[in-house]
Amino acid sequence: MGGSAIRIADLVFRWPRQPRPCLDIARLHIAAGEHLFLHGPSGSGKSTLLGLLGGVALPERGSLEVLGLEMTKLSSRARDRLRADSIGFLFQQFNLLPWLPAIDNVLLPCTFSARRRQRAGNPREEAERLLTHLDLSPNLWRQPAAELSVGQQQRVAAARALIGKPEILIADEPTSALDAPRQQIFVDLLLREATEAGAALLFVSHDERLAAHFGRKLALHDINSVAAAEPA
Amino acid sequence: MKAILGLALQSAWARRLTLGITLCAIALSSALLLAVEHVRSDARQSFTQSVSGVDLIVGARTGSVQLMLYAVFHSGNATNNLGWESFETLSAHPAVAWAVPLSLGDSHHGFPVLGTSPTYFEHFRYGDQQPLAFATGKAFTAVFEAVLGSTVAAELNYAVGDKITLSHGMAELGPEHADKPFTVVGVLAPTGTPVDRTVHVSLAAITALHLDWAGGAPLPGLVIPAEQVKKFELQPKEITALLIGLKSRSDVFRLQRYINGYKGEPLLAVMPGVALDELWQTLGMVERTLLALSALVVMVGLAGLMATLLASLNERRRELAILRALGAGPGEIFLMLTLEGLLVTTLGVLLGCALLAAGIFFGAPLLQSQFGIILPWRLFAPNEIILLLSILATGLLASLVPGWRAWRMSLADGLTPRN
Repeated sequence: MGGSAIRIADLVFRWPRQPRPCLDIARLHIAAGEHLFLHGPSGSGKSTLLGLLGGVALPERGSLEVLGLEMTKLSSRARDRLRADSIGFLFQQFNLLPWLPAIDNVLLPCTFSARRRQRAGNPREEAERLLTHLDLSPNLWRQPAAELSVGQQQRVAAARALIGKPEILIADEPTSALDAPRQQIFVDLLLREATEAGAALLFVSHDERLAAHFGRKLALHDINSVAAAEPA
Repeated sequence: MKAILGLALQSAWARRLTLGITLCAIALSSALLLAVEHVRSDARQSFTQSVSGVDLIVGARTGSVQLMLYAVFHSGNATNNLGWESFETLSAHPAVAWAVPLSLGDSHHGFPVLGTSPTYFEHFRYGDQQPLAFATGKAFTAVFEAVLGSTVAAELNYAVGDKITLSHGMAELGPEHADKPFTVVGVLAPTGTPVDRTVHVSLAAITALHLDWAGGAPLPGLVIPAEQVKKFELQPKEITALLIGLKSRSDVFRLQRYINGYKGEPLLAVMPGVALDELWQTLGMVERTLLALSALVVMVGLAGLMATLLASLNERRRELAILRALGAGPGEIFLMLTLEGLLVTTLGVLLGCALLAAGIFFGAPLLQSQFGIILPWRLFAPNEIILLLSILATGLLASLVPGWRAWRMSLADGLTPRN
């Protein structure tokens, strides 16, 4: 492989009707398969950055490439497609459709993306494999997501992000709802699975202690010249 | 897109309680609206079908609608009768082809009894100039013989040869004329008009029944057995109304003027069509008000739908963000909400149609017995289909609002809902 997962150059983003930009990033490069820890407290513009990477917002200026595709040149449909096909998202909490059984939540990306369905081989078997890997006992698979504990829900969400081998995994504070001993376990689990899937992992968190096992660490306020100037 | 539709259905199912209540509100309100329109058009239809071929209806002076209601539909009561001499004079009028006397006031198990002459069966027309036909038997000839309408025979399980007794007045448990039983000699074929619910006897029978009566009760100490009534004069002194057919229809206004100015006693002659028009004018206002009210109720139901969907948006904000993260575009989110609203409206309207069908099934006999309105089973009339489509269109409009809100929300939230 050896290509690039995400490449940002001279990117500026401003919310509508705001006088000043909220993101101004000169350079950010994440290689394919690379694991990057991005330190960002809330209010540092990280949700905005994730929105840009997911293609639900567009930069005002500059270049944003995802898997070699220039986002500013893609239609919103094509960006939705790219997100469905190639990016697995994992959020803080409430990642799941509460009324849907755990295993069907895992299978969601395969209903939205033919590509991920194909890459999963037999989606149901793959979902079961991932859930087993993530230590979710089979008697919970058919339970509605709302009936699982937060920790179990996060593992289901991880399986959902991983299914169909997306090239990029984006995790936004996925451990903040877990208690301290389980946080590191979850991060290691995620790193292991990302490695196995060959996916680039962008892990965003305010908690620097979790960065230990990452190959590379960055702080958002170091690369975002707006956040540096702003009081926290 | 297919992925999101399946999810939309599952999501709606997860909220089935609130959506179900909204659906019921839409079903009830559309059933109400359809019922008002249905009964309205069928009432018109059945009233218009009830009499044809009669040029004038004559009675003692009263309101023309009232005269028509009791003479043709046997509902309500005549305040006054008219004298037999007037009947004889009018039947002898050179413009008159035929005149049939009508005498009302008695009943049999709640069905009105009509005293008339055998010529009634020749001259009466309903629907599109259709004459009355006998399913079995024949017209009455003797005093204590009766001809039943098809519904009377069917509901009370009577056949030619059975004996029946009549009650005085319209109350189902009124005093009985038990001493003078009648023999059923004929049963009429169904007409879909008030004739079906009528017991027909001769005028002489009405007189005979009341020989030993005065003021609505049997005269104490006076009993005249059935065998002896023939010794009495059975020519009635009074009748309730009469139907007139003309030799030439062009005489109708001339004769109407003559009757309305009749010297012998105050009389009223009405043309059935004109009286019906008058009735519609009186009812039209009520009908329109009812229709407008039920349309308003439908609006309330659909406003409820809009409120339910809008309220659900707040609790589904995360759900929408998850769908976005999975690759759904804002357009698909918009469609999902709009289709959910349209689905609830459509199911509601379908349930409303089922309710209406059940209502007609169970309510039609009551409506027919109480008001003489016949509700036949039929497909939807064009204006009812227009009503149905308008409900669906309004439901669609009401669903566009939450759809638009969800679209805005998913654009503003991106992948991380703000709460």
